[in-house]
Amino acid sequence: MALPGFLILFFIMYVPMAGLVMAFKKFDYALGIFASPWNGLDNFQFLIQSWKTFITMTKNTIFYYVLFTAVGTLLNVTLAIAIDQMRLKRGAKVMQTLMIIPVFISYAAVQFIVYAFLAKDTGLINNAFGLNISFYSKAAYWPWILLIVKIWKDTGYGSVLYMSVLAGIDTTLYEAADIDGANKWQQIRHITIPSLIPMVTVMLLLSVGNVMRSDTGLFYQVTRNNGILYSTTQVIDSYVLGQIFKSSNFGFPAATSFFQSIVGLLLMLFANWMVRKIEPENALF
Amino acid sequence: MTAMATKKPMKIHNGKRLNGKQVVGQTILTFFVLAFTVFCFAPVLLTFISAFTDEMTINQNGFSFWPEKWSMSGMNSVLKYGNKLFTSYGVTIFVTVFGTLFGLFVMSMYAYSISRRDFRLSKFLSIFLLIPMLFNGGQLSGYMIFTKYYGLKNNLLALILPLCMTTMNVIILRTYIANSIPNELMEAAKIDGAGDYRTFFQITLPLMKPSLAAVGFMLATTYWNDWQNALLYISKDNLKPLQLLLVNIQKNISFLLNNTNVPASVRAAMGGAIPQYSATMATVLVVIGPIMVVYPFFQKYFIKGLTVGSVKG
Repeated sequence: MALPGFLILFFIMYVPMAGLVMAFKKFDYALGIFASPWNGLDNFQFLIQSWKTFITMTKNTIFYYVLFTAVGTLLNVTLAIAIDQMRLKRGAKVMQTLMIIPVFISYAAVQFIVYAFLAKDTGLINNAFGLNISFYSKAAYWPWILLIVKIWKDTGYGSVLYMSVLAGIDTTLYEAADIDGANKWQQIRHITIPSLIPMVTVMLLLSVGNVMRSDTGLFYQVTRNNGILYSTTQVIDSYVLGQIFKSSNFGFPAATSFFQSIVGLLLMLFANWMVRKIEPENALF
Repeated sequence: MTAMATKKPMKIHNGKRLNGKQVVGQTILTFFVLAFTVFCFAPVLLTFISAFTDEMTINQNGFSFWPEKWSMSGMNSVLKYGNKLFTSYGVTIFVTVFGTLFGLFVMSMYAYSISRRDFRLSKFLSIFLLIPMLFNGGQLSGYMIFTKYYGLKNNLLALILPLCMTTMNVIILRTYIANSIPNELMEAAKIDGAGDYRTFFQITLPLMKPSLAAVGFMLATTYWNDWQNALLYISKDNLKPLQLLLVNIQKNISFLLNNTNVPASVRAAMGGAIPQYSATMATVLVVIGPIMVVYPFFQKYFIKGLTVGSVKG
């Protein structure tokens, strides 16, 4: 019964893993990955030659991962607790429905919406505040813009997962706390948050493997893959995607991909090892 | 007796009457959640409004929630895409429906297999499922394998296969089977002589409805919104999904913006593709609209169906 799934995993996920050997080949599309001649570490020399590009995108990739994960987790949990605490149940439901909507809008569409806000002449922000900022030509604005877009898009949906945990908390715990005279804050601190910790750990762990991967659409579409903004917006994934269309020499992208996969694996193993030391219950494997 | 005793404060807790401090607390809380809702929904609203705003108004006054002049011209020019839009709709709907059903089928069978503890390979299959989450080949290698070895350039399978199975979704389905479907049911079926297939299709699958609905809806939106695989693998006009239309509109805009010396003849040749603000927003609306219409019907399954349990088998 597991056979179809097994085959799909094998051909879709596992075969491309083998394709990573491309990093050590002088790739020729006509020959394909496996028949192309080996060239040892030559591709990694490109990596040193283009050191600055490489460092910038690696730095961005990690920076945004940390930023999005920290802010995202905090907001998801806060929002879940806030909605859970609301007495106005029907109102909470309607609001939740509205705030989940952005997650269903593709980045291909989001970029037009962002543009409506940020465009230089017609943008809502410039018009509303009587400014004349050209957002699309100044890299310094983009970490903020991307963070806001990310919060806008993912927080509503992100909180759903935590709400399912909150729904599962034994209500007698709250009742007992009530009797003992604990106020709301104390209840949240000592009952609600501790019961969310395992889920937070699982979610963080699951995401660690993706440190080196990014929400490509956010960086490729929302920024309109604008070269002027690369210093703060180019991440490994958007770079590699761009190179697939532009490049005929895949040496550097291949080396970068290899680096991306290996570092991702190591970080994941490390994170799991850490969690296992502290709280074996919550470890992934 | 103790049960009665604990019931009592419960009533106060859930009762309508709040003391003054609680009223203030609830008001502040509601205000913040409401503010966040506005933050989330306002851009969506702006999309709606801009799609029906007069083009000249946007050009002169910019995008606005209160446009001076409304107009249907944006929507009309979307309809002018005509066949192109219909073809793309067809492609997107086909990929979404087929991909979602196929994905659910494959993933639920896999989830069922690894949830059976008496199945010899379940441990192996769990690990086999987990590894791609830790380590994967990345876009470039995937692209080369798909185009060079599988020959999937301009083939809709290139849009369907990469997304149909994710580790996360299988885990969600498996968690649901393990937590919400009593094992006794499946054991009873076995004792009654039902084979694995029969147990799965007649007992387990029908009971998985909430998680199938939640995962299925998420999967469907993933297919609907996928632009990346389309950008990589599809170049033929009659296979382009909706998202690729959006990407192409944007490319045309950039092209016109970045090449100030585009000759008038080229601009003319691009004709209908010269993007107007309201028309672009109308296109966005047409692309995202169907999901928004369908989504409220699936929302109730989200909290029930989307629980991730321990990943360890």
